[in-house]
Amino acid sequence: MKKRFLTMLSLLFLGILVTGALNAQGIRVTGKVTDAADGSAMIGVTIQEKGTSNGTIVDASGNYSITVAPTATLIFSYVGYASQEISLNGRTIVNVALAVGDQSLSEVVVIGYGTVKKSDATGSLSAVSSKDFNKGAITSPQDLLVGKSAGVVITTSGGAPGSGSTIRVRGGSSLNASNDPLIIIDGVPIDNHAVSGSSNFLSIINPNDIETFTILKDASATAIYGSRASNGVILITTKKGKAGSKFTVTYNGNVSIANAIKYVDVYSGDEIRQIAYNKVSLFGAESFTKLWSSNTDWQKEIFRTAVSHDHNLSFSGAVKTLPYRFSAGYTDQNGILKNTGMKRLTGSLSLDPSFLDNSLKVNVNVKGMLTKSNFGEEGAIGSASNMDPTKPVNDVKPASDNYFQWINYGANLGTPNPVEQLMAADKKSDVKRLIGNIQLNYKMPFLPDLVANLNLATDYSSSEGHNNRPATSPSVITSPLYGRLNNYDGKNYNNLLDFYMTYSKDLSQIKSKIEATAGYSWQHFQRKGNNYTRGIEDATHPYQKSDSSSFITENYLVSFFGRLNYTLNNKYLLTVTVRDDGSSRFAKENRWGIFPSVALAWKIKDEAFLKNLKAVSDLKLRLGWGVTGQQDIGNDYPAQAKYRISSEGSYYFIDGEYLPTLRPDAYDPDIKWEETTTQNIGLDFGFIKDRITGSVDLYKRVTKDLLNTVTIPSGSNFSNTLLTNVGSLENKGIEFALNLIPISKADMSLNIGFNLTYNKNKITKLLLSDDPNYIGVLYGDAFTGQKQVTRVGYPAYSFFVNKQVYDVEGNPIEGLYVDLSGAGGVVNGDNADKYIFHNPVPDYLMGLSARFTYKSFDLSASSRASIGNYVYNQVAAGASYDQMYQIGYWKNFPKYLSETQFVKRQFTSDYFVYNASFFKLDNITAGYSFENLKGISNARISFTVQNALTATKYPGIDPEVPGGVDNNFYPRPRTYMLGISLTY
Amino acid sequence: MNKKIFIVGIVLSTLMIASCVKDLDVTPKDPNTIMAGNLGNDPIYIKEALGKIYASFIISGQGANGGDDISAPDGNFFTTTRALWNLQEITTDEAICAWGDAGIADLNTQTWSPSNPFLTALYQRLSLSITYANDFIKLTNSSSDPDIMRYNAEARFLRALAYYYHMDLFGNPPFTTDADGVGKFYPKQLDPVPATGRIKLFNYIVAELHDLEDKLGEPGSSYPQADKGACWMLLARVYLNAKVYTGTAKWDSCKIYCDKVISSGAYQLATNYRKNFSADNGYNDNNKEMIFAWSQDGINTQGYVGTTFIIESCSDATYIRAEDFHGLTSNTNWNGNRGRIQFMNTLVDTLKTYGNNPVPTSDPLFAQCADKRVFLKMKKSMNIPSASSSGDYGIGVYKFTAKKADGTLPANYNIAFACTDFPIFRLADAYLMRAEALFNTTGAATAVADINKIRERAYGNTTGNVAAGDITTQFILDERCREFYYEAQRRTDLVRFGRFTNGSYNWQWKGGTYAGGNTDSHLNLFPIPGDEVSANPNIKQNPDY
Repeated sequence: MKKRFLTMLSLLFLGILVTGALNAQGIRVTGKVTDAADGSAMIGVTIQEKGTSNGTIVDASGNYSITVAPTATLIFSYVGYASQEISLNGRTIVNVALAVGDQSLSEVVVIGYGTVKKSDATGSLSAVSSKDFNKGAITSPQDLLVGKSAGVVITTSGGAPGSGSTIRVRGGSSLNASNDPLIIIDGVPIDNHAVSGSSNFLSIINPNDIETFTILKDASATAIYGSRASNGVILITTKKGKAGSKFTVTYNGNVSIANAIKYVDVYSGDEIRQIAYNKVSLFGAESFTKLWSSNTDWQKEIFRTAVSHDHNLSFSGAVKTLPYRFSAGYTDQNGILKNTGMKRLTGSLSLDPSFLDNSLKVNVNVKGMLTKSNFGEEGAIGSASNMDPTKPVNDVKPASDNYFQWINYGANLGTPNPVEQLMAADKKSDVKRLIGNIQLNYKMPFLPDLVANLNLATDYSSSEGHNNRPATSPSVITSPLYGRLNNYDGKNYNNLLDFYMTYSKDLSQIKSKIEATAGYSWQHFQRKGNNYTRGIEDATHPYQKSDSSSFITENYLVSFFGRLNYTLNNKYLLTVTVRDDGSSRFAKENRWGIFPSVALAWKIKDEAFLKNLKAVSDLKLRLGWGVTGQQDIGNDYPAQAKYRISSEGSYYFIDGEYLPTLRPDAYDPDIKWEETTTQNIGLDFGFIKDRITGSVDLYKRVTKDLLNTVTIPSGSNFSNTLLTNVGSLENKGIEFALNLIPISKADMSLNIGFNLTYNKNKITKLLLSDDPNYIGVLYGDAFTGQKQVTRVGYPAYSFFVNKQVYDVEGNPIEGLYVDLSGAGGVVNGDNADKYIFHNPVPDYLMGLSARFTYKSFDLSASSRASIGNYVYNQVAAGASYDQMYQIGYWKNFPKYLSETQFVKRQFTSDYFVYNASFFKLDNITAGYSFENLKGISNARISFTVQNALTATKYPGIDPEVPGGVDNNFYPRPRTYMLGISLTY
Repeated sequence: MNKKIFIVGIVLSTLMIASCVKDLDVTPKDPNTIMAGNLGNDPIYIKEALGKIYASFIISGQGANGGDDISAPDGNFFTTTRALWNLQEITTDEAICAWGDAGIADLNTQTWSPSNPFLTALYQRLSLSITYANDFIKLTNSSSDPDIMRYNAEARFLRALAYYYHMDLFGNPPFTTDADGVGKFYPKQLDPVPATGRIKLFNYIVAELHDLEDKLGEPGSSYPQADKGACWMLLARVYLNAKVYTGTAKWDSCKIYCDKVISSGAYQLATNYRKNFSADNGYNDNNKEMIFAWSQDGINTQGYVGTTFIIESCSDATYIRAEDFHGLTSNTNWNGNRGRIQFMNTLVDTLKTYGNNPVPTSDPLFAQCADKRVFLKMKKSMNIPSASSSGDYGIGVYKFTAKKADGTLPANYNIAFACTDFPIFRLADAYLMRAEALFNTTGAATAVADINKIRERAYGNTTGNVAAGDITTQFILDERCREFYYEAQRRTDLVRFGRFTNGSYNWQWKGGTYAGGNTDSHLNLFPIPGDEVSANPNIKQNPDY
């Protein structure tokens, strides 16, 4: 297959070379573009020859010049202004005045396998373009979108440099299968599985290269992606060169300073010494001798003020009919945790030539990335709040590299010295990635209404990394090894071929327009990797074992798809899509799935009764229904009976030798797609010349054949649990988006964007059998108890805790819980007495952003509110007096302990489940632009504060906790950034 | 020209689509994965698949290459032998665990519920070992290769052993054999009435073991794999407890199989009792007492499981440092398990040792005790002040060790993992089972020789010998405690002697009180886990749960 793919690719390139020399003859047209409001010259207006990629941009004095076909039609467009189409009719001078307004309707948005005018879109989608992106020292593309679109929840995993984020579109439609949306970059659906050593699968794209995100939310918009569309689709379009544009060089750079916003409030050395004195009955007088005299603030020892910088250079323009853009970016980001950082080099090239009288359009994109990450050791964050503050950082002890460590390395009660834990970590990776694709768009010469599209793409990443520790590290970190030497590598390949044809026809005699698309898609994903760990060997520490593992796994997706758009009277729009997907993950009988969708839209504004009503500038009703699937279940071979060889250390002595063992793996021969049916009603509106625009969407999504890892009957399969199609769940929600333009004058403007999301998730079925007493799927670990549950009738991952009893003063009484089972006796952490108490997902999410410009000055801010998200504060739950001093080891705890006064840890108390609703001012930016400075056509300087403000009642470090269990994650820093942007 | 390109394109596309649909037929490329149909390709695969059944009783899974066999909150915690040890020991006078992990306190005080994670994991793992065995038996049933026929018999033995544990702990488990497939179905119990199901399971195990007797290897021929000796020992053990399982005692049958073991000539008691609990305790390490054990090795069979778990959980940083006592230096001294005072009183004859005085703190290791089976150490206090007191209180136990019997380190020494095998059947057990069978049939006089055989080894001479008149039911129970403590037998013995529940024998913190209180006799059987009852509508819960 691969060979055929390459042959095809080279054939196509050959064809391009042969035909590349051909070009059309044209005439030169000039003119001036002015603002209709005041007649001033407009700079930067885009002029395009209709139906081609030929175009130019108006110069600094408002004039333009373009060479086009004598019969051409020119399109003049400018952000915020109504576009105009003007036929030349032989003229060579065309002056145009552009008026404000109406821009959103003529906007073209990218959808699956095509584009659509936003006003003609039938599905629920939202487009976010670069001007609306979040500002600041942003290295992850996901962060550009935070809070910008209703129904899209993005949670960064923490403050580590280059770390990824989880994206949820309209809640999750799955439990055990992936809930990540499908992400498509310039037509290439990318693999959500990052190569080992990479913390963010989207880091390939430099945020500076992104032009727009289009988020497809309901099934009628996404179903054309069938089995991968259940969690929405995000289409990323990168910046391109424009036809006819002049050579432009742009530089964007910034320097930023980041520091921790707050630390966990733990006891000082003096306070610990006081506690030891007060609690002598508990700890015994011998505990005094184990206290030293220091007052070390361990958190201050591991965090720092981090300086980072970021540089981006892009060149764009057009050589004859070849528009191009090349960009390079360099990021050097340092983490606020010492010994963490990321250096990244990105490059991207796009070429968009046209051939054969513009009937063949070619689009070539190449993106490359090199990232060097230094992960340090985030475990030091937890250690820093637990380490005894009476101990110094350093101690004269060569065996521990002169760091203070507890005398007995073996005891796992001794908190490792956080500074050693962090600074001695050698945990680094090098990741390389390349995404390249070529898209050919060919208008059939004998049938110009028929356009063929071919997209060939490859996505390759490779990584190498290691995670070493010296022999001087304590065994509590390296156990069971003596020191640690670890190496790993990984390679991901993803190849794609899409071919589709689009036929569009105006049938004006019956006032109809049709557009039909039919296509085929083939995609192959392969991942492989190796991991090798061993201890350090020396005279007293012979070879112990190597923990080595390797894997290689692949899957294919083959699909046929089609779409029919029918427009009647330019008012009634119908879209029907269907996709037939085949996945190699399932057995032959279950392999193929058909995913249909239907959508209707009614442009009410164009009806006679509204046509002349000035106040209403847009009104459109959308109805959609569709079925999407899910096959990204983590395992590429879940239906196949196979055996697995154990790694070294898990051998058994058989017939005189140690042999690896062969284990039959659990499998479900009948496993199949998860199916999500979505219904959506939406209304798009615009008032007062679109000074107020927005949309409301109501949706219901029902997932059946939910893939769930359930406890299976003992004796029926090769494990105690199996991933199988057993359950169902539903999500219901409302999304509301509003855009206001209260001020829109030539030298002053104000834009306000607001969005609101409400989503309710409920599990409706979970087991093979229907046992009403089934407790649900429990989450947690042996040490801290099971505190979350997914149970029928409740949201997934609800907190599952004991009901705390309080004394008259409102303080929790240690170990006393309400006897909910009524069984009497001591109510301990047993599941029978627990109840469901809230869940980590917010009920409401709001995003509010504003942009204000006055002459050359601009100011923008974006903020978010999350309401009804609860967090289990494990940092607080871990604090108890009995853990503070144990057999010679002192430990520190957060000062929650002074409130609870718990002697033993009470992990299952609902006392630790907090309402973590919050308001965050994510960023605030002020900028000033200079024009025509000594050969620089545009310059802008800006100052940004990121993570400027958080308002919450949650007492922990940050109420925005991935997964809802707060357990010392890498804190998100506050960042101050100075940025400069220059355009030549 | 354009038309040509178009046509070529169409033809190419059609060809590609046809071939690409075939791409969907994938098989794993991973060299660590072997398709079920290919197990016959290399004779070593059969040995490795057999090895899996053994390994499933002791370690957590496939290591870095495939992970744990079951999903549980922790891989090592919820391995078969470790969970079995908890269910058989910390529910009794022999041990109490100081850890706060979910489920531990319930076992310490006999207040467990069907959601206890240890009994859930043990139940699931035993069934899983049975399923692995069923798969292997089906695969090898038709073979005429003598080695493979022997492996087939070993797999059947391991299945019978897993059913024995099921019968002992849970009574009436779901029953599957190699005739059942694998997929999504609801296995049934042998009988919906728990007591009847247990009797039917007893009959099945006995019949299966009788059939296997001649198919297994000769005694001592294939350690640590199961042989005839292991089969006889399991039969003896099943018959020993027949009254508990079926209501009818089978002392004669028990004796027959003890005789077979003792008279086989393959086994002899180790001169040094400690040899059985040291890194060189295997039959192939010149310990002819070890009939059957789960093999553990510092390099090849690793995990915080089995004997490593016993050693580390019984060690602490103050009284029994694993670094000093056992040679383990990495992630040591978990300070969890230790004995209760009643257990110390059984092991140490304090009156004979110290006279009519309190045990002197000057002898923390009970060195004056003549019985050399006492590997105990005093801690902060011998009484445990609270059910959740730290491991510093109670009676420290260091019977198992990662060092060799001579105190040196073994060849495959590892800083974190012991090489010590976990004993399932020792020859000493054959003597004590036979003694008990004889005591219950022909009387104390016929049992005294077997008991003294064990006591002579314990004392190193005949000073500890007893007379027929000293032998009572209580004496036999106590002697088993002295011989087999911390070998995961205690609960079974207490149940057989009617001392586990119902107040006939109480120990500190039994039932949750300091002095120890009555518990209900339905606790003699563990419940079927709640997870199983929810997942399988065919399963009937045990009485009173």
